[in-house]
Amino acid sequence: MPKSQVLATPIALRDLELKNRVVFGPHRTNLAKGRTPTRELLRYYMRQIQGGAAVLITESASVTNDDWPYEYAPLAPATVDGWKELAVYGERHHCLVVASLSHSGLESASSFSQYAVLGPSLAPDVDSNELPKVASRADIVDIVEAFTNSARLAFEAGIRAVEINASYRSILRQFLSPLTNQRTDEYGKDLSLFLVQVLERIHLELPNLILGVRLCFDELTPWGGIDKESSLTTGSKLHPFVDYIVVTTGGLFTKNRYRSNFRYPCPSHADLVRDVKKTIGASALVVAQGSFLDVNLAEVSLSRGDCDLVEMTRALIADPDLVHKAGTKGAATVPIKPCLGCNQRCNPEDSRNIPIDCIVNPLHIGTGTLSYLEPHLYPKSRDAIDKIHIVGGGIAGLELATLLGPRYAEVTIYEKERSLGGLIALYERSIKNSRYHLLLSYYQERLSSIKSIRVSLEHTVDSIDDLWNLKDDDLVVLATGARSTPLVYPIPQKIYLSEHTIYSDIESYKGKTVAILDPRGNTESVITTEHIAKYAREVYYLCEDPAFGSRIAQTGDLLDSIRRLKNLGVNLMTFSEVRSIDPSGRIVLRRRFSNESRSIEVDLVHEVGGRVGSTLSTFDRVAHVYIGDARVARTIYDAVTDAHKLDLYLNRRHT
Amino acid sequence: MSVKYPLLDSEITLGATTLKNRIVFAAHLTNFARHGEPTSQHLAYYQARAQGGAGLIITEELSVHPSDWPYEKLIHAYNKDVRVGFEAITEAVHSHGAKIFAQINHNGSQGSSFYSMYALLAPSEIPDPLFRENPISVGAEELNEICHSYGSVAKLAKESGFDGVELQCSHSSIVRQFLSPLTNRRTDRYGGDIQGRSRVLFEILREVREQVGSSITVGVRLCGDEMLQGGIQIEDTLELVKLVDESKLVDYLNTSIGVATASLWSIEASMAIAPGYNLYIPSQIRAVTELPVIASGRIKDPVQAERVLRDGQADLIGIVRAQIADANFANKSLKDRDDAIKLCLSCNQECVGRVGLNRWLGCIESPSSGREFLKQPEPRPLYASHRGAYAPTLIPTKHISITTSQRILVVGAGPAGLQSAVSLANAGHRVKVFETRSAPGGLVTLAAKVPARAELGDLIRNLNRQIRAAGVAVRLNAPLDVKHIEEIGPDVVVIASGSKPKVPHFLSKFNLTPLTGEIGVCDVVMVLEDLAFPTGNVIVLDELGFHQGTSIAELLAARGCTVTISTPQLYVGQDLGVTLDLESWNLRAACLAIEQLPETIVTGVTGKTVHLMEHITSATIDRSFDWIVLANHRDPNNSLVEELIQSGFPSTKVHAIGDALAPRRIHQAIVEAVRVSEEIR
Repeated sequence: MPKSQVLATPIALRDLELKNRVVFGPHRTNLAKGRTPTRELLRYYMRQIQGGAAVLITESASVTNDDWPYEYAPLAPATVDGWKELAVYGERHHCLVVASLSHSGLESASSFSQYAVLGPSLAPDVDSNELPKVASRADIVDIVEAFTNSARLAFEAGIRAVEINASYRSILRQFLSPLTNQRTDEYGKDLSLFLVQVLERIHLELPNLILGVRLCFDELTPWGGIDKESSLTTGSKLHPFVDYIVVTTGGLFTKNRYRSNFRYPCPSHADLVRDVKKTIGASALVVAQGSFLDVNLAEVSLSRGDCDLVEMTRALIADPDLVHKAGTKGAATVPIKPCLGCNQRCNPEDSRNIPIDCIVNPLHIGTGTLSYLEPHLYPKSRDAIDKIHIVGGGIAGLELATLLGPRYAEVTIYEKERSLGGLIALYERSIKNSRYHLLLSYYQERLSSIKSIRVSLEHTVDSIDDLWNLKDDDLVVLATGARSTPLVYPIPQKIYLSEHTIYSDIESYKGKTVAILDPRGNTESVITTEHIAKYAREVYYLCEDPAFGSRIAQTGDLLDSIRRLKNLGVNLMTFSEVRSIDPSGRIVLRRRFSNESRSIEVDLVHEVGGRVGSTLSTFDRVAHVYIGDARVARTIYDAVTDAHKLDLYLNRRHT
Repeated sequence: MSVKYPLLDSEITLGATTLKNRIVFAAHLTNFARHGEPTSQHLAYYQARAQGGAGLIITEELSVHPSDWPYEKLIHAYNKDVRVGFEAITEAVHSHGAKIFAQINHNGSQGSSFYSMYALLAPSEIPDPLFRENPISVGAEELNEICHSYGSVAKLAKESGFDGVELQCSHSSIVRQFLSPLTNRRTDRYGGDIQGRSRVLFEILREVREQVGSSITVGVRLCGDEMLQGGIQIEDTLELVKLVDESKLVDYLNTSIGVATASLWSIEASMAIAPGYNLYIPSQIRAVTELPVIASGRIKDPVQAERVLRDGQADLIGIVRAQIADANFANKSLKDRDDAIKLCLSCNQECVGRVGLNRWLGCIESPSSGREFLKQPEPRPLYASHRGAYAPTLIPTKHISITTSQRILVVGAGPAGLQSAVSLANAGHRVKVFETRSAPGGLVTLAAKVPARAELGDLIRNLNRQIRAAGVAVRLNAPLDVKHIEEIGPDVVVIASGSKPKVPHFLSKFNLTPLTGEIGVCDVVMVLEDLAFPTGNVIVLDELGFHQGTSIAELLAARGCTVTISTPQLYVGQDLGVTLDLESWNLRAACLAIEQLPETIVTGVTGKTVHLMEHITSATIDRSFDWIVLANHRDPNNSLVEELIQSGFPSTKVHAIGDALAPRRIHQAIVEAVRVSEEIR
């Protein structure tokens, strides 16, 4: 990792000195309740402030009551107390707390406010498909007023800087974009008029307030919408009012490109940032945004002078101590836990209101979540445990070793394969742009830096006799992963293609016809189907859902993955009910809710997610527990949280 | 005593509880809970139905254990703090002479670890088809704890004033998962035959009885048919009922159909499925047991309810959606005023659909349903922690000062116009309604012309009745212009003139009478208004994803057209899923051989050739059709607003509502109509 030189240097923002170049950006957390920040949300921010970012931008607060884009979207007047507290806390840690203000316009929803959503013209949002009320001049005046009033509330609460959202889900962006603005009045003639009015008004009324704008520079829709040319023109109009500009991409049809997943380049639009810096960098600070998932990526842009600050939101969620760890002097002693760019838990955009989380850095495991009704996870006694034997070097085992290593005299990992990493090591090889290898390197680095940890590779453990120097006071943690087996569909053994085989024995299905039965519709469905399709002659993908990937919308990969699979020639057979599977490979299907039947002939059949936990009775003589897939087959997130729960349990004193 | 519905109006005793009538407000999710606690929203909601005359209210499920948290707004009844709220609710319900039972449950594998952070627990390691998370197969220790948790929540319910508890053993429940061979693959004594599979149920029942004795009622809700291949069927349930009967642990049986995750469409069936569709379950159960039996399943009027009782199909009737639509359903029925009932449409839009999206339960035609607590002078939170948690308080409710009666002209007699006329007239204004068409109801009346959508028309029936009761005159075939309005001279004008068709960019005009070689072009409304008669090969271009496109495809196919329906969305009828109409529409569409083209947009039309593009991979297809039928967004028909203001009418006295503001759905029209009546003083 290159030493972070520029990243750690201070920079002036008006009369303030920012201590470094790292920005924690605004994002939906679902941690507010009733539109008001909760203690939990403040704690989430405070953890980031402690971590050392120079700037923290709070979740966008709506400036009007009737703009209510999601249930726990903060409302500016209800956020005042939270701002007050954060402003004081930020000051103490030399972190600039910025209040983000927004109006979601037609990208809002009427379901919470019960008011019509507002938009520039009669163009609906692609997700809600709800037509907006065309904003009247009076509506526009009201919104300008509301932005100003909200900025004043923030300023009076002690907030030094306010950021106006003209990017992701913003009525100001909707006015800037020809995709959504087809007006014939002055707001249609000058698409930036509304934004300029908002900024100008705040600047005039609150000259001492530092003002930033989050601006969409490219909606990435070549057939229309905001493009670089138009946005640079807009950007250059703003310098009289703004102190900094955040350069973002993504629009009405490309919401997934605002914080792109790992399949897109990291960073996602560094060239655009550079052009913005060249054009308007003299009059305002330029903040780079867009998949700066690693410190070295940020350093490259900063050292080239392409930007002044870098927003590293997801990287900071994965590791809030990123700035400290990146350190100025010498190489970091503790490696940074890398963001995978998976967008699985940090983009909680659906109606379930699941609190923001991170699959490699679970945020909500605390003593409050400990329960004795977590089968197989906790040992009967946690006293006097001497040594830890971890059987299996997958994510669960590795995470646990890094947690327990510093506290126990001896922690041994036994891995039957030649290398560590379990399932994700297998996945890693087959996914383009995958970042799993960074996580594996992180674990390698951690393991080698913790003295008490020993790793034994190619070491199969079938019984306690295979463990080194096992004593009565030892704890055996079985993190052996799951056993492949059809779980939902009755697939005859003869034609069953197990998950392990998919990666370890490609020859067994190369050039053959494979049916993939998918009861999941998740990220694994994408990975598996893509992988098999690369080698098989023909692939039939079957699911009961009406569409492929029903559970992956949040990752931003839904349409992309369908496109990739179609281009690979996969027969996507949605709405398919499997009626029978013959050992000869004949599968009889029915289109759901119809009497239309058909059959296909295949060589092999795979079931996505077909694995079960594997509890072994041969360990009954010693204290032993199960974590991760060995306990019950689930996701990476669950493997990591199991490790954290066990660590907490072992670490907690009796009260 | 009701003259028309004497059986419905008769007393019945369930164990320790005697009910004044047979109308049950059965358990259903509301999403009213906050922080796992019941709220004053619950209280006001249940109280309104008790006041409205229901004999028995069964609460939404109360979860017995922290390992169970399938959706965000669940009541965590294992947390003893909930007692305060329960006491307030039972007291409020009792004050109106109704009884109230607590439904208690553990959802098992039909859950999520996203909120609880705990791995799921279930009989076997099989993922639920909706939640898709692998659960851990429970051992003796876990089973024991779960049984105990049922007992202690039952005890808490008794102490909080509930008259009984109902064990949820159907829709979504770990007990059902034990009972069903699909989810129970155990080889120990909790698996195998019905004796084994029901062992958990009886262990829980014994524990519950131990805790509550016989001083309160204990019932079970059983699934009669999972509607799944290899799942529980009525024969299995009849066998189980015998075991329940013999156990003497239970006072009544509630019944159900379907599984809340795999076959939800059959539980809360929409208007597309005939009323009483699942009565075969209670009637067969009632034939083999002495216990009183509750039937439910789209029973939405007292005639039907009385017939079920008279035919001996059940002893009590679970009526949920009809009492959501009209809180006074029971009183109106039993006082023989059933003509005054605001009938439920079974549209599932704001109740089932809304709740499925983690939002508060509401009603498309009664915006005050689920919002009863807002009508209280000062909505008092049951818990200090709920203060400010009610988002609605952030939008200041308008305090209506004494209304001075004004002359109000409503333009348009669609749902928005009719509802605003009713609300305004009831507020004391003098209202006139003018409508261009020859019948009231606007697009709703048209939409109800499609066979499976007929009950949507009940909305207009309900509004017409209220219009008559309010004495409002509706003039039909009466288009208005500014001059007319000036002659009428109203104080306020409500523009509810709906929408007008829109020609999409790839077409230049509509063509309702195509010549040979031309393609016919119309929109859904033109077909329903009998202005266009598509024949032959028809493509429905659906950009809405709701009933418009799918209904018209069905109608035209039934008329003999060869129908293709295309949509840019990932599948046809994307929004039918939440209202549970996707399944039944597909079934009908398959019978009618309707072709479905998802992920498809139109790039142009040449002669009779429609240029289509599958937009994911940009593959193009050219197809020839005789007609294009558009199910597209329409434009607001509100030119009168500008014209009136131009002519000097004060802009504050002109209100556009419903589709005239922005073409959307019925609910928005009704909400805006009710709101406008609060804004006009």
